[in-house]
Amino acid sequence: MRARSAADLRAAFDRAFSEPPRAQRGPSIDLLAVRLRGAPFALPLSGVSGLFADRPLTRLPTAAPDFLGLASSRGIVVPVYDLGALLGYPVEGAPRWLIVAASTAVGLAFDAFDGALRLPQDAITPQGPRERTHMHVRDLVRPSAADAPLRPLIDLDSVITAVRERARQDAVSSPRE
Amino acid sequence: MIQHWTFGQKISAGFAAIVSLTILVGVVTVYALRSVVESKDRIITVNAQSLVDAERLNGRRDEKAAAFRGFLLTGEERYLEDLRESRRDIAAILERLKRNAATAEGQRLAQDIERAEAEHQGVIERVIALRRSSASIESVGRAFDDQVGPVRTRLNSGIDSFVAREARQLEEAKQTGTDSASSAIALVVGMVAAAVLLAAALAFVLARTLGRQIGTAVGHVQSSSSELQATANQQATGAKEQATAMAEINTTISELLATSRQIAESAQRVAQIAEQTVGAARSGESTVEQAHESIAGIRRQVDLIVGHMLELGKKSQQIGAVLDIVSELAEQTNILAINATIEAAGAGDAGKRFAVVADEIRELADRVAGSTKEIRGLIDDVRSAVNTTVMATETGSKAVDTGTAQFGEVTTAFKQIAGLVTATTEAAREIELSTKQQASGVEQVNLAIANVAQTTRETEVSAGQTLDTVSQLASLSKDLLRLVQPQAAMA
Repeated sequence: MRARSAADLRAAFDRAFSEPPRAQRGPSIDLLAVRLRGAPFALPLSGVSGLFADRPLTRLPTAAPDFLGLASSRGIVVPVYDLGALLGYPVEGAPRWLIVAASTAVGLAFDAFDGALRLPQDAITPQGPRERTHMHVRDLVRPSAADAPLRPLIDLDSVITAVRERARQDAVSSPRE
Repeated sequence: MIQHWTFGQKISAGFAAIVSLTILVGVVTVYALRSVVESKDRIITVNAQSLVDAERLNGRRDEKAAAFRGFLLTGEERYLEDLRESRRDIAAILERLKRNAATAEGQRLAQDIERAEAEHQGVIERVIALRRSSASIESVGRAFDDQVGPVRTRLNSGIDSFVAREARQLEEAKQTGTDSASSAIALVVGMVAAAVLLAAALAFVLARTLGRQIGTAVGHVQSSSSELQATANQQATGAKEQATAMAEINTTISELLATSRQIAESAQRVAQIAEQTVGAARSGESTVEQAHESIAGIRRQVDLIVGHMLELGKKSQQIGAVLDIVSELAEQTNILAINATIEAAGAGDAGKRFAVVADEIRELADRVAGSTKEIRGLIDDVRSAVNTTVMATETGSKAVDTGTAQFGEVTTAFKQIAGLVTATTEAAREIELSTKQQASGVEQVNLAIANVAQTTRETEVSAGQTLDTVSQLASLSKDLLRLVQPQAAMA
C-alpha cells in the first residue's frame, strides 16, 4: 500500500461527494471480515445490527464455556457467546470484538476485525456437504484481491438457531434440578 | 702366618729346611765317620801295634834264644852281641807295650813278661858263664836243659798270653769299631730316610700350597683377563663408535661453521634493516599521532550523531504515540461507519444517501487505518534503524575509544619498537661479532676434534693391541693353570 498524505485523503473524501453517485454494477453483498483464533472468516452484514469493540461484559456463573456473559447494546441487555467456541474452537480468554445479531438480541464475540468487504454476489461459492470444514459454514467467500485469503462465510441464522436450541435445552433441564 | 708368606718365602723356607736337614745328615755322617776312623786308628795304632810288638817280642825272644844257642854251640862272642841286641829290643818292646797297655791286665802281663825275661836272662848269663868256664859241654847242656828250659817256658807262656790277649783285644776293638760303624751307618741311613721323608712332605706341602696359591692367582688372572678382555672389547667398540661420532661431529661442526658465517651475514643484514626500521618506526609514530587526533575528531562527530539519533528516536516515539491515537480514531470511525451503514440499510430508501456517506467515511477510515498501519511500519523501521544506528554508533564509539586507546598503545608500541629496534641493532652487531668469534672458536674446535679423532683412532689401535695382549694373557694363564692344577684346567 502506498502511503498517502492527509491532504490526499481529504481530497478523495471531498471528491466522493462532489461526484455523482456511482452506478451499481451488479448485485453485491456487504461482509465483515473477522478472525477466529487467527483463522479468517466472514460474517454477512445483513445479519448484524451492531458492531462494537472493547464492550464491557458482565460474567455470570454458568457451566457453558462458550457463554461469556451479558453486555448492553443501545439500552438492551444481550447474552454474549464466543463465536469461535460455537464453531468448535477451544475457549481462549475474552474476545475483544462483538456483534449483535439482527434477528435476535444475541451477542457474538470474535477475536479480530479485519474490515468491511463489499463483494459481488458471485464471490460467494457454496460448499458441498463433504467440503465443509466448520460448523455453521455453508459458503466460501473469495475476495477480489488476489492475495486475500478465502474466508468461510458463517451462517448467522444457523448459529442463532443452535444457541436458541441449547438455551431451550438448558431451560428444560434446569427445573429438574 | 705361613698363609701370608709369599711364594719366594715358602720356596726359600722349603729349601732352607731341606738344606738344614742335609747339613744335619752331613754333620751326623761326619761324626759317625770320625768315630769309625778313630776306632780304626785306635785299633791300628794301639791294638794292632801291640799285637805286632807282641809278635816282634816273640821274634826277638827267638832271636835271643838262637843267639844264646849259637854262643853255646860256638862260643863266639858275636852271638852274645846279638843276644844283647835282642835283649835291648825286647826291653824296648816291653817298654812300649807297658806304655800302650791301657788296662791293669796288660800292665801286669807286660811286667810278667819283663820278670820272666829278666829271670831268663839271669839263667842265660849263668849258663853263658858256665860255657865260658871250662865246664864240659855236657854240663853246659844239662844246665841249659835244667835251668833255661823252665824259664824259657814261662817266658814263652807269658809272651803267648800277652799275644793272645792282644789278639783278643784286637778282635774286641775290631768288633767295637764294626759296631760303631754299623751304628753310624744306621744313624746316617735313618737321618737320610728322615730327610727324604721330610723333603717329600715339604715338597707335597709346598706343591699343594703353592699350587693352590698359584691356582687361585691364576684363576684371578684368568678372571681379570676375561674382564680385561671384555673391557678391551668394549673399549675397542667404544673407540670405533667414538671415531664414528667424531666424524659426525666433524661434519656437524663444518656445517655449524658455515651456519655461523651465514648467521654473521644475516646479523649484519638485520642490523641494516633494524636501522631502517628505526626510521620507519619514528615516521610511523608521528603518523599514528596524527591518526590519533583524527580519531578524536571522529569521536566528537560520533557523539554528535548519537545525540541526533537519540533525538530522532524520541521523536519517532512521539510520532508513534500520535499514530496510536490516529489508529484508534480510524478504528472507531470504521465502527461508526459500519454501524451507520447498518442503520442506513435499516432506514430503507431514506437512508441510501446516508449509506453513501457512511461508506465514504468507512473507506476513509479504512484508508486512514491502512495509512496508519503503513506509517507505523515505517516508524517501526525508523525506530529500528535508529536503534540499530545508535547501537552501531555506540559500538563505533566504543570502537573509536578502543581505537583511541589502541592508537595510544600503538604510539607507545612504536616508541618501544624504536627503542627495541635500536637494542636489536646493537644486539645484531653483537651477534655478528659474537658469531665471528664463534666461527673462529668453531674452527679451533674443529682442529681439536680432528686431534681427538686421531687420538681416538690411536686408542682404537691400542685397544686392539690390548685385546691381543689380553687374549695371550688368558691363554698363558690357562697354560699356567694347566701346569699347576691339571684337573682344574681339564674342568
